[in-house]
Amino acid sequence: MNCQEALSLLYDIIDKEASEIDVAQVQEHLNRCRDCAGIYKIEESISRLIQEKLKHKEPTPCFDVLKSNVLQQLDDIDAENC
Amino acid sequence: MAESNSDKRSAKRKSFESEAIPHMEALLRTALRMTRNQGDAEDLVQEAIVKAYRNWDKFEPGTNCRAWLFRIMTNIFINEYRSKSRSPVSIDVDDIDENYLYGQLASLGPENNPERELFNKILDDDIKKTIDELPDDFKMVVVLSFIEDFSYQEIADIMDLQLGTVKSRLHRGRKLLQKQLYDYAVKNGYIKERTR
Repeated sequence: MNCQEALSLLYDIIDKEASEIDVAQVQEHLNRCRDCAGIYKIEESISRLIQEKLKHKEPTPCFDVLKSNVLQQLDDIDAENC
Repeated sequence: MAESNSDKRSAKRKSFESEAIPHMEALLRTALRMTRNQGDAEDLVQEAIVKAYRNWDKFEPGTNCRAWLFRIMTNIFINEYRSKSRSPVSIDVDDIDENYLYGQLASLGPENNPERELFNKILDDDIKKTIDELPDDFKMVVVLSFIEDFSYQEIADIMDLQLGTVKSRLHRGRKLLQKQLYDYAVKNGYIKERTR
């Protein structure tokens, strides 16, 4: 596998969408190519850090209010089907 | 008979509450990023849940309820909310160097983990703001993939897109995100701009 092929699979691998064969071949390429290994390392950590920050649980004080409003609406739907 | 009707209704309500309602917090999280507005996000979630409940008999038990709910909400967003919340900034998507952030980070010097250092300084809110500014088409696939961990195929089903379109939007969405994060970090003095 050459650099171009290895980099074309970058996001499939980061997103765990690549086949086992591709993963193995890319790993084999990264073991001998420092440039590609550097790109993979930085891209993987950027993706992971963005995910961590986005998933960081926001305080959602309004959620309980929203939930009870929604359940109330479901009650109304149940009632109208009576 | 009235009683058997009400039994049937409560069974529907019960299964909806145990299978669909637990996903409501995730729906709200994504709705906040899509609409960029608390009020609109809550309205969107409410509308989606009500629509899902009315169509609950069309949901096939045992299939992916979370993806089904996101599909309903995404459709409502695209049809009703999207024009209202159009992204304020237009970004030229084609004008991005492939390995933009990598190039910038690699040029920062020999320190270990320049990306880790950069990201330690960037706040959760900064990242959310950056996501909020992505054009809708890109933002939606980025949010569904990054925040909600849907697979490419699930995103294709949720948004009615070809698999290849999902992949290319996600790819370009990532590049946009990286470029904006870098610019943002420079603007706020988190990192020094590379001298060319």
